[in-house]
Amino acid sequence: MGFGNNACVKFRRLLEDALDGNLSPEEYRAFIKHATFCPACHRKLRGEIMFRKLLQKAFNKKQEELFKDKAQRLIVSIKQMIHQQR
Amino acid sequence: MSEMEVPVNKEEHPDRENDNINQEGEQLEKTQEEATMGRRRKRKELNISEEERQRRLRIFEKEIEPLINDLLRFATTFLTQGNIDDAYDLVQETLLRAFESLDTYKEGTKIKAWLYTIMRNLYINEYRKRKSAPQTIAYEEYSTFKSDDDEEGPPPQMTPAGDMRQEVESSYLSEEVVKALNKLPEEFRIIVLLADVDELKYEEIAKILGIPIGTVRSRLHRARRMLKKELKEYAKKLYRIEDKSSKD
Repeated sequence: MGFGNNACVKFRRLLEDALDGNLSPEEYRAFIKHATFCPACHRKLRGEIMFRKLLQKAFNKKQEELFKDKAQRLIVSIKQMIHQQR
Repeated sequence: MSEMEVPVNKEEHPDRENDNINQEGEQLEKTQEEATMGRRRKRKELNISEEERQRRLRIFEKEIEPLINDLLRFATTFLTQGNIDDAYDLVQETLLRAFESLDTYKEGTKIKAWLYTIMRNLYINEYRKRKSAPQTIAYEEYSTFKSDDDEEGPPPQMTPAGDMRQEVESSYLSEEVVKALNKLPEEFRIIVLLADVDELKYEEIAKILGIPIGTVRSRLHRARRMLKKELKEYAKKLYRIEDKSSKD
């Protein structure tokens, strides 16, 4: 399966679905194939991947700072409460 | 996931109403920290065998403990408007309910979406009533969004998608992302969080939020566009850092 006419338009329409895992293997192969040959779409794909990685990184960093001690305290507390339920 | 029940109904916990009333008086005598924990309820005894208790503890340690940071983040970002103590309280109650319902859990199935669903329902049924409505920004404010598709960016680097792992070390930039995300209306922010940070599938997000998959898709698309607009300047800085790194 190829993208045929208006390949760049199709590529961009499928961009989010592709990265969200919503494409069939065949669609995904065609998607990646187009990105390999089209610099503009490749750049678009690259930007989208960067965007998602940044969100993850920002939040992982944030939660490490915020919840440093809370998570451990929570585990101890929950186990005590579970024990008391006997 | 479909075979796992989500313990949310008050009927399952008939002692809650009375406990809510009693705890008001009790909290006056508690320290600040204890007051935060004051929503803790006197729980029913859990009538399970020691063998079953040990099985649940193993699941708890193996599957749930590693997710506690994620649960705290979900609660803080989406449910408690940044109040970490409330989030702590909410996560604690969520974990206890999950433990009580672990008989429905099959080892190896995805547990994060199940926990999020318990927590969200718990929040809606019990916690939200105590809080004022969250401050959100009207979606209309974003309606003038213009796509950046046609703008000239840096020259493309023809590398496979799997190799596009450029680490960015600046904490300042991370803060920019968090700020931008916090500017989104609540219903958009949570979608991005669940999809892009927790990497849940549309179907799982739909179950957690109780909305159709089509709504997940359309909100996610809009939310990402809003974020990209907010982060336009940020993205330029990022590209500069990335280009510099690739030359080093």
